[in-house]
Amino acid sequence: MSEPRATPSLKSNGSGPQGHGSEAACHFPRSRSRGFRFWTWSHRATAALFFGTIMLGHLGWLSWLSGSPTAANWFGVLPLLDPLAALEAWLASGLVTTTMLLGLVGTAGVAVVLGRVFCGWICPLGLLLELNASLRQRAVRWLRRVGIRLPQKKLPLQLKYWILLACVVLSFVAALPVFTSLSPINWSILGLASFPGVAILVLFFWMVLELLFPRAFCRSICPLGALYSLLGRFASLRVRVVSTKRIACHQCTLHCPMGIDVMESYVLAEKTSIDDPECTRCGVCTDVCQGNVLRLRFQDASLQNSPCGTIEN
Amino acid sequence: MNRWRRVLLKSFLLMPLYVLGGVLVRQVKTHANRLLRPPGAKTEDALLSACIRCNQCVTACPVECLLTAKPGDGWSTIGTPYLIAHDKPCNLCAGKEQLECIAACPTSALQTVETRADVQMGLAVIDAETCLPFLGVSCKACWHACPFPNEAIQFDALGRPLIIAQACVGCGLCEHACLTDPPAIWIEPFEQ
Repeated sequence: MSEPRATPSLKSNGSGPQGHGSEAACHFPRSRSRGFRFWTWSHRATAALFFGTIMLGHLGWLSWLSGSPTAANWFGVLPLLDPLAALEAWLASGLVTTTMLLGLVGTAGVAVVLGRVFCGWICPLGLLLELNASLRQRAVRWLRRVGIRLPQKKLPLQLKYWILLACVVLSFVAALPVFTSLSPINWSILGLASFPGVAILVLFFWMVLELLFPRAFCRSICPLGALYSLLGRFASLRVRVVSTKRIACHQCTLHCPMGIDVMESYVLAEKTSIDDPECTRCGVCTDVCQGNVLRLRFQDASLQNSPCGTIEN
Repeated sequence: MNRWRRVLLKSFLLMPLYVLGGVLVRQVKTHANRLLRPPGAKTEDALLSACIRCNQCVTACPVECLLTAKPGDGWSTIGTPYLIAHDKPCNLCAGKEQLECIAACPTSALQTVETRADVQMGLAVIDAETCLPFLGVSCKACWHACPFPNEAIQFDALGRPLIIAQACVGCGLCEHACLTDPPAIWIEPFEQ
């Protein structure tokens, strides 16, 4: 049940000896072409759409939207507020407004039900760094051909929770919303619109840094991601195991943008869902899964060991 | 349980470091460039602490007088709203029901004012060496521009303007209207 399985389509698809996802993975089969990667492109397109609309609204071109990633007002009635910005502003100034509380319903409230969806589906910096990571994969393969190995370093995942705590304490003591005032997430809209030179330099800095530390910002640094992780700890939308036909092809682990070891820690450990707080519900693992085992679901599938071993969903 | 105890202990040990960092950040918060803030900003510190740099006030301003602070204006002010009264003054949303920037602000950075006379952005200052009436030329340009003409600007027997500090809101319309270049009347933003 848990051994790599080569499928006929693999041979026709595999153009080289390299694994698809990572340089550490040469011995895993290249991902079988399953046509259009729906969730991968859905979450990227959604984030791109958010980036475009928020940018246009930020520039004042839209009458129904204004603001930036820290706070936006949709259709004049729906405020959305970055929960970390609200927390920092409250701690720094000691004042709360009704807009601040209303604005949290659409962000923190959504995170409680849907988990860390902001990071995968909305965050403009997350989109940029995800595209940067796939560029990195190409660079890695190209560099290996000329005999250079790009090192791949990791920062501890817990680091971002300590940064979150630091932001909270510093905001309170310094009376300044520390992360919000220097947030590269905010600068990917506000900065590009108001001071493009510096903003591009800052974004470029993170892109270059992530050549050595893949997705380090989202995985280990971003305090907003940490806050969303905490808020979405008990979210019901999860990637769930919907079939017992588990193939240990490790494509989910290789492709996970957040670096979760989906295969070893969850699927092969016989868990019914990917309960990792880091999961951004981006759905990439469901796209690359060779056995259609993973699905984004609100409820666990009722798994029975039927004779053929699968339950179609 | 053991894991949570470890986390608590660690944060307890790290807390002095964080507090020290906070005190340090508080010290190096930049006040180098004194910026003229939009109406509703009580003090510079109040604005800096509550502003979440979303720029909704900048978008909402009907006369587009608000600008976004850039890295050159000091790192702690980046993204906050300010205005340059000489180029584009605040007309206190004349003809509108409310001050649009205050209505757009999601936090308490820009706080609601009872009437427009309660706005306190800064104080107009006159340079007696370049102001035309002080040189013997008749001029009332600032008075004509002022939203509270007779309360905020009064003239002495020689026709020289005087600013009444209690009534001046610091909108900058006088600075914009001043005939001399550089202007003989300008707004000093309130400190801190």
